[in-house]
Amino acid sequence: MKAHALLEQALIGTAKEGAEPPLAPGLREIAAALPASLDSSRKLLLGAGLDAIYSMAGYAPQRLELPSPAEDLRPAPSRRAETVLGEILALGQKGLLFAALERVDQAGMRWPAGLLPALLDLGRKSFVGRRELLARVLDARGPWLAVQKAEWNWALTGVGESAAEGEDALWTGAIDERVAAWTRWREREPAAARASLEAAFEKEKAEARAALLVALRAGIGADDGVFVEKCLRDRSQAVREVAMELLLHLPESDASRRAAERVFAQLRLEEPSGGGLISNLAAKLGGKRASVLSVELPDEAPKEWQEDGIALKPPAGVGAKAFWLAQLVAAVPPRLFCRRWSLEPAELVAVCASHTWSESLLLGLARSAAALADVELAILLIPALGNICNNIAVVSHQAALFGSLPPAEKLRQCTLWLEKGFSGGIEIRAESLPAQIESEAGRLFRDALQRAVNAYPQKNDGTFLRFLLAAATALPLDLAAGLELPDLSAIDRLRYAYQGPRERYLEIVRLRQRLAQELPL
Amino acid sequence: MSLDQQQVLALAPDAASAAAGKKLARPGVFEGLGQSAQAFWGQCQGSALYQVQVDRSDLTGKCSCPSRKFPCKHVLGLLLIVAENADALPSAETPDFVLAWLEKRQGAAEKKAQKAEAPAAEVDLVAQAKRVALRQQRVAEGLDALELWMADLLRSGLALLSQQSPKIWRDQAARLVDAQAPALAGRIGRLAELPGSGRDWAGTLLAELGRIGLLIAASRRLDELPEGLRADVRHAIGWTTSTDEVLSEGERLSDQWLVASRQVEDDGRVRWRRFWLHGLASGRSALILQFSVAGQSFGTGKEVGGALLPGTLVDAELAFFPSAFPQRALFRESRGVRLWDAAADPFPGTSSFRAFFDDLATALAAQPFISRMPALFPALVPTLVDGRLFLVDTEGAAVPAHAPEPWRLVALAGGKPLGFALEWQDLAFQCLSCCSDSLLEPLSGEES
Repeated sequence: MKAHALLEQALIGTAKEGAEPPLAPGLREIAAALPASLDSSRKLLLGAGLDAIYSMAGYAPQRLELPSPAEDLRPAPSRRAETVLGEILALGQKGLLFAALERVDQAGMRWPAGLLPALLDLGRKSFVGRRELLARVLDARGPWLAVQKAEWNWALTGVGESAAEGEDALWTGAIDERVAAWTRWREREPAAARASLEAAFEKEKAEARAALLVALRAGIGADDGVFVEKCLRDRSQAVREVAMELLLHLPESDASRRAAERVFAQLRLEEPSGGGLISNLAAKLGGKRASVLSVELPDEAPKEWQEDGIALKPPAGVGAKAFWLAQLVAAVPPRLFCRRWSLEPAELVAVCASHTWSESLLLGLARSAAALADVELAILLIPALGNICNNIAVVSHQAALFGSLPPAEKLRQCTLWLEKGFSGGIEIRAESLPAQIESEAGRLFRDALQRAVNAYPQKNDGTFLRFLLAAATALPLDLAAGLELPDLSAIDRLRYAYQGPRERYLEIVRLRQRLAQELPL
Repeated sequence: MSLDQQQVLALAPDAASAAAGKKLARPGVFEGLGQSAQAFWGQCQGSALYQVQVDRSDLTGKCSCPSRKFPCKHVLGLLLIVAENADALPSAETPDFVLAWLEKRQGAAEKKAQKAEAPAAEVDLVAQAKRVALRQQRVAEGLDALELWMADLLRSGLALLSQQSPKIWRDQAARLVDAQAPALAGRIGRLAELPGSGRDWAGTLLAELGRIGLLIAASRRLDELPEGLRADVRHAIGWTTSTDEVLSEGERLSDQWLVASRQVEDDGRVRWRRFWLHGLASGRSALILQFSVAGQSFGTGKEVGGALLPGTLVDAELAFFPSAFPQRALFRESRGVRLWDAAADPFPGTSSFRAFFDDLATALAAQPFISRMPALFPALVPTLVDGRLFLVDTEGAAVPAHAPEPWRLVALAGGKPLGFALEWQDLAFQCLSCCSDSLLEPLSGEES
């Protein structure tokens, strides 16, 4: 190729490579008109000019085979709707984005083609638990595009309905995606899914084993008992803990019976003996004498405890007996204590909360109540835990209890939290708010939110501002739009913390309004 | 003419103003909103209460804020509200501040018209000839020096350039400015960032130096060149043709001109917009340039009768600058601007690359110094091969292309053909606009 030779000469320089410029045959004839006296560098300069024009005029395209086009089934939203969706995507507010995806889906449309790259760039982790929704709005063009770029291949797997279609999703990809795929299969074919998981279990790493075992929660039954009991002796403590939680759903299993025998051998509720003058008088007058919880723990844990999943070695800073006690209590359904001791849930919590071992007892109850989604106990335990202390273990158990609540109860708790001035023995986070709030309960919540907004200048709480932004997406649109956010830009100490979230709130509401207008249902 | 958001944002002097305008585009931000047949207006609370007004005839705005940008974010915000929902502005009696401004504008327009009609002042022809001769001499000396410098670069080898400061190019460009060859100075100045900047930098640089070398050679034989080509060479060096001369003597062509693309370029001091227009009946292309200095507006397109935006159709007579292959033009007379309607006028253009390259060869035969050539194609499929964008025509021929968001283009097409407005430069197409679902969307040229 002469053009290449010309460039080579230009790069090296005519001082070193001083021959005539190596022109293409068609150009040599033209270059012959150049004066012979011209030095080689000027000849190269003019030759390069001729070559540039000659190449431009004689350009020959190559040939390419194209992939088959994508055949979408759903219509695309209007250009105006696309503009709104683009702004929502650019805002980076996950809750709002999912609301937009749902709206597109409910309108029977697909995600706008021009915004697909930005959506796929968000990555696999952004769509955990929403893959079916994503698959519907991606339509045919999403996978057509995803197959062309390695970073987007994640969008190709795990969206199928049959086990065969989702096969890749079971064994490859991020663990949360795999758990979602296993859960879907488990819901369709419980026995086959368990058998397959059991067969492959040993080959998985500890972290994956613990995560995948959670998939058995879906439709757990007596047939699963043997495998779950086997998991109590897994080498990973995380797996053993999941197995103990699963056994709470299988009270008739041998392991659950042993757990009940074990805990009631250590914990006894006894009638109070004797008593002082006042308590005896109160009993005489018909008042109830509080029972006394007796806890007797061995100095050394029996070996069989370990075989049933109880971890014997406590973490740093925790006493061994306290550690064992929490596990012993967590291994049985909390209502079993109520039945054995004829206590109402509130009485059970009160007895435990007033005990010397209150923290271990309440943590144990919290773990089992959260696993069984026992709403009544969860509501009692959240503040009870908050009253004893606020270490990391307590906060995480409170969060687990909160997570087990149904949306309406979560909203009630959030409303209470607002009314108590962002307190109430629980740390409410922005993620605590249900993703969608019903109108009726939402009105009470919105009113509480409005009062909290009005009181904000006195409280100046950052958690509340994040919470406010979550509410901008979760509240029904009319309620969200009705919230009045005062302009506090004149107050120096609040200007930077508050005005930004305020603007963002207003922007979210505005985008929701425009989306509702452009994508009517 | 109804407005849409894209058209309003095209008026923004820069991206920051566009973003700020968007933030203000909410009815709650403005008070006293209103509209009449002549104007839109409202008041916006900033550090003070600003009076914002827009003349509907040409979308020129005025605001009492202290911003030096034009139009400012408040004017853009007001126009965006109109674009979103014109009914958001109630019809009302025109307030005094708007009336006063409209009257002032009317007065200025009349004054300008009177000035245009007034007889031109007498020109001292002898002095003018002397000035021209002096400039010719300076230009010739400047070009001799430039050629010597370029020959020196090739003597020592271009490979050394990637280690040298870009200042050498800027110094050379400054010498050309002194030599009164500003267009050539601009071309040399733009080469400063090229050495070492990409895989093909040396090839691109060599081609451009070669073209400039040929231009210098041609400038020494101006008198022997045909009239059109002589004008091209003079223009490429930096001689200008006056607007009046173009309007009175340039080739005229009436057509329905589709605004196919808009690019914004900048040399640090001056920014300019390049619009490629395509005549629906004639099939001719025309290049319209608009200039802006120091953050000022490019203008509102008053001479056109509306903002010049991709996807609009201008019914106008253009006057072309003299050239062997005329491309650059001015609006001589405009009869109005409307949105292009794909149902009435299908997306025009060349059916295949083969036809385009035939046309290009013909154009280069007439005017070898063409460095960019526009093209419209109604059906090309964008595809990415090893991360490189290609456009494929209906015959399966593929040509490399550049676009700001290539994956977005591929997604838009989904393997099916789209319409494209392109510009051929440096052996690849630059994607300027694409047409999907009968809407023309600019792909480049937004202010950064």
